[in-house]
Amino acid sequence: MLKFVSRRLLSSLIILIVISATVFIIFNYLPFDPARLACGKHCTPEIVSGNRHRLGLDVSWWMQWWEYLKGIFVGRTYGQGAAMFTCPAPAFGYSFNQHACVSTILASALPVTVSLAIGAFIMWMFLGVGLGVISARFRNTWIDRASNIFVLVGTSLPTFISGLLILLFIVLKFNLISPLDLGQWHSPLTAPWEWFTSFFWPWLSLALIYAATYTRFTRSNVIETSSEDFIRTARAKGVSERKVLWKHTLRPALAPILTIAGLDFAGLLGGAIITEQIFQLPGLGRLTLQAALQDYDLPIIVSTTILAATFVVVANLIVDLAYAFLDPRIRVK
Amino acid sequence: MNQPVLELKNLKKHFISSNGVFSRNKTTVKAVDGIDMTVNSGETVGLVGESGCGKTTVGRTVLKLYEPTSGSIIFDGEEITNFSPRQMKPVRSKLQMIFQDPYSSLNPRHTIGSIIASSYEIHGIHPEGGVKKAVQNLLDRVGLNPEHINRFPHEFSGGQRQRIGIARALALRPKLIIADEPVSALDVSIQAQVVNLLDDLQKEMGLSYLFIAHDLSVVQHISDRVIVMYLGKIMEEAKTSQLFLNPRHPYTKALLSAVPIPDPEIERNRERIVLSGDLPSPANPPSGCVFSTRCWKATEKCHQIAPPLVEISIGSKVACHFPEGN
Amino acid sequence: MSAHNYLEVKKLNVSFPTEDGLVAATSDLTFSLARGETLAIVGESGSGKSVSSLAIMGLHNRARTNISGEVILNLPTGSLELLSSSEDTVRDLRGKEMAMIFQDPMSSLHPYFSVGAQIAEAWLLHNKGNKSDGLKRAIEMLELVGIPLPVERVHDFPHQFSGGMRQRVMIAMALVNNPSLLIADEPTTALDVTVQAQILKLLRDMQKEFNMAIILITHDLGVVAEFADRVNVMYAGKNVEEAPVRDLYYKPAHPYTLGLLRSIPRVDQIDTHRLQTIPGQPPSLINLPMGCAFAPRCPYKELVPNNLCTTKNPELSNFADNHLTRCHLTHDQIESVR
Repeated sequence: MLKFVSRRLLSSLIILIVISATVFIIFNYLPFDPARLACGKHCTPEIVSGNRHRLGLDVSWWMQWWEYLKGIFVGRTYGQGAAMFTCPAPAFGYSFNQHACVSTILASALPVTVSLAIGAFIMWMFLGVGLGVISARFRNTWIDRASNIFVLVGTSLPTFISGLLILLFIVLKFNLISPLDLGQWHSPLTAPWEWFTSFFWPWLSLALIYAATYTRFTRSNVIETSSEDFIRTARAKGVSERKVLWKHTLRPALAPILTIAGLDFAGLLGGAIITEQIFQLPGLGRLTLQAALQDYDLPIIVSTTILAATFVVVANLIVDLAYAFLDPRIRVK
Repeated sequence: MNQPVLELKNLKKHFISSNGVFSRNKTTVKAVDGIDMTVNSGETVGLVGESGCGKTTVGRTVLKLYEPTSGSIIFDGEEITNFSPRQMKPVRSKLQMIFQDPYSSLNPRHTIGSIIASSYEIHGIHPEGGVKKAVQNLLDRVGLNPEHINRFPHEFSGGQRQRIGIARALALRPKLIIADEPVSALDVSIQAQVVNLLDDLQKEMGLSYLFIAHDLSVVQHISDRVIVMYLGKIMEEAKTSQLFLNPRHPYTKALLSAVPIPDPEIERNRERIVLSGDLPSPANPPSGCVFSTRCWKATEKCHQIAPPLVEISIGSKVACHFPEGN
Repeated sequence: MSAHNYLEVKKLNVSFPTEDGLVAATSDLTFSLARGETLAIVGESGSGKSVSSLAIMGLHNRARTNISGEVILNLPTGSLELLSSSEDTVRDLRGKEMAMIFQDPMSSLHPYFSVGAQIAEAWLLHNKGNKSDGLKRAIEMLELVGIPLPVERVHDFPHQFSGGMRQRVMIAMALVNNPSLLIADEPTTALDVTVQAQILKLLRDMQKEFNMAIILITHDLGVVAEFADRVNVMYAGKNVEEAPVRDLYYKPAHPYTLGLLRSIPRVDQIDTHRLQTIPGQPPSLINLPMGCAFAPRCPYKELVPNNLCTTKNPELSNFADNHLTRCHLTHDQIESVR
C-alpha cells in the first residue's frame, strides 16, 4: 500500500512539473506581449524593454519557468533600487496590471471559489446520490418517474440558463439578495449566516445540473449492482433487503461515482466561470476571465491555469487512494 | 493424408507485463513454452488442457493474433513466423478460426449475409455465380435456411450462430480451421449437431482442424490425434484411441479419470485419481517437470530435470520420466 | 413416502411478464426430497431448472414474478408452506435451513469483503455472537472445506483465491449454519475437470457430515451419473422424467432423455460413428407449442395415434416403480424404441 501511495505521489509530481512547463511554452508562443501591454499610451522601445526586464520576460521560456518554480518556494524580487519590491514565498509572479503580487490576488479569490465549490458539491452529492438511490430502490414507481423528470429537466438546463433564471426570477424578484450586495464576500468565520445566504443561490444553480447527472448515474449504477451475482448470494444468506442495499449494494455502486465526483469537484475549484459571472462572485473563474479577455494579465493567467491543473491532479490522486481503500482488488495485488 | 498443413517448431509465446510505468518489476508468463506439433492435411488434432495451460494462446499465435516470441510456424509449406500483417492477408484465406462465443464474434449490426460476404470482399474474391449465391450455398451447407440471409445475428439461437461462424470460416475454402472451444457454449443436444456438421464438412472439403477444447469427451469424438498441454508445455501426444484407452502421462491419466462418465455403474465403480491442489501460476512455474508439484509419482529427479517429449511407441510421445502403462 | 420427505414441491409454476409476453419458465413441477438424498435436476439452458430453485429459495422478486403451487418444508417444528409465508419468514429460513451455491464463485462472492467477513456475516445473521465469534466460526468452516492456512486466509479477499478455492469458500459460507437443504446450481460448470472432481468429493463429504438434502442443478450427465440418487429431467419448463439414477441411464422412459443420453460422447469409449442428435431447437417459452413441448423434435410422435402429441399435453405418469415420465407413448412403445 505504501509503495502504491509513493508511486502515485511521484507520478503526480511529475505530471505537475510537465503541466507547468507546458503552460510556459504555450504562453511563450502566444502572439501578445505583456511587456508591450503593460506599457500604456506613451510607449517607447526603452520602456518596453525595461518592462520586459522587470517582468522577467527577457530570458528563454525555460528560465522564466525555472524562476517561477523557484519563486513558489523562496519568493521573488522584482526591479532594483527604490523600485524594488518583493513577493514573499509562495510567489506566483507579479501583476503589473493590478500592481499586486499574484499570490495576494489569488488569496482573495480562492476563498470565494472554494466556498462556491464546497457548498455546491455537498448539495449535489446529497441531492443527486440520494435521489438516485431512492429511485433505484423504488424503481418504476411514481418516485422514480418524478426523479426521471428532474433528471431530464436538470440535464437539459445549462448553468448559464438555470443560473440566470434563479437570479432574475427568485433572487432579484423576491429581493433575497440586494443587487448592491451581490458579489459581496462574507467570510464564513466572521459572518457565517451572511456567507451562507450569499452563496445559497449560486450553490443551487451550480448543483442542479450536477445533481441531475449524478441522479441518473447513481440510479443506473445501483440497479446494475443489484443484479450482480453477489447480491443474489447475500439474499440467499438471508440478509435483509435494507442491509442488502446499504451494506452490499451501495459500496460497489458508489465507488465509480466517487471518481467522477472528485474530478468534478476539482474542476470547480479551478473556477466556475459562468456561475461566478452571473452572481458577480469575485472568484478564480472571474479572475481568469478578466485577466484573459480584458487585461491580458499573463502572470495571473499562468498561475490560475497551473492552480486549476494542480487541483485536478491532486483530486485524481485522492480519488485513486480512496478507490484503493474502497476496493480491495486494487489495494492488494 | 500425411502432408503437414501446419508445423510448429519449438514455438514460444511469453507475455511480459510490467507493474506500472515507474516499476521495474516485470512478470513473464510463459504461456506457450517451446512446443512442437504437426497438423496433417485432412486431420483433426485435439489440443486439450485446463484453463491457463496455453492452448488458446497456441491457436492465437498460429493465427498471428499474437507475435510469437521464438520458434517457427510453418503453414502449408511456408514459414509464416515473421510475416507482417500485409503478408498474412493471403495466408488468412487458407487459415480460418471459429470462436467459442458465436455471438460476440458476429457484428450485431450486420446481416448474416453481409457478415459471410465480407470474407469475399476482404480478399477480393469473386465466387462463381455471384456472392449472394455463394453465401446462400454456404448457409444451406451448414444447415441454415438460405432465405435467412438478411437476418441479424440476434435473431438466431446459440447453435445457429455457431453455424454462421462456421459458414464464415468456410467461405474462402480454407485448408486449416482453428476451432477454439467451438461447442462449449452450446447445450448438449446442440453440441452434437455442430460436432457432426464439423465432421461432415471435413470429409467433404478435406479440411484440417486444430480443435482446442477443455471437454475431453468431445475431443475424443472428433479428433484423430490428441495433444495434452499443461502450463505451456506438451505432456503427451498420441492417437486418440491410444491416448484415451492407454494414457501414458500421469497428468493425462488424472485428467481422464476426473471426467465423469455418463454411466452410473461405471462411474461409481472406477478408480479415480483426484489431484490435489490447483494449477500453479504460469508466471511462476515449478522447476523441473511442470506437473511435478501435483504428481503422485514425482521424485527428486522430476523436481529438478524437465523431461523431454520423446516418442515411446509409434505415434505416441510423452514428456515424463516415469510413464504409465506399457 | 412423504412421511420422511424434507422438501415437497407441488405443481410449481413460475412465469415472468415481459414486453414480448408471459415467459412460462417453470410449469407444473412436482418433486420431493429426503434428508441425505441428492436429486439432480438436469436440463438445457432455459429448461427452468435454475428458475425453479430460485423459487424454492424465495429469491424471485415477488412483485415481478408470478409464482403458484406449493413448496413445503417439513421442519422438526412442523410443516411450512413457503410460497404463502411472509417474506420475513422465508428470509429467516434462507441461509439457515436452506442454502445455495452458484455457478460462478468469483462473481457470487462480494469483491469488497474478505471471505472471513462474508462467512461470518452468514453465521451472525442466524446466531447470537459478536464479530470475533463469527470469524472463529469462519476459520472452522474454511478448515472443514479444505482451505490451507485458514487462520491466515480468512482475511483474504475473493480475488486472491483460485476458482476452486472460491467455490470452497462459497460452500463454507452455505454450510456455516448447518442447513438441511443445499441447492447447488451448476457448482462445477465454471471449473476445470480436475478441480470439479475435488469439489464434488467435498460436496459428498459435506453431505455425509451434515446429512443434507442436495438439489444438484446441472446440464452435465456425467456429473449426474457420479453424484445423484435421483434425477429429474426438465425440458421447456416441465419435468419430463423422474427416476432413480440407474433407471434413468439404463431404462430411460422419455424420448428427450433417450436423445440426450445418445448424443453425448464419452471418454471411456472410442466412437467413430456419427453422434446421434436431437434435431431442431428447444422452443421459446413465450409461445409454447400446443401439446407436448418436445413433440416438434420427437422422432417417435408418429407412433402415437390422432396427433395426440401435438394437441394434448401429456401428464406426468408412472412408468415403473418410482419412475415417472411425461409422454403419450405406451410402456411397451418406450421399451421398443429404447
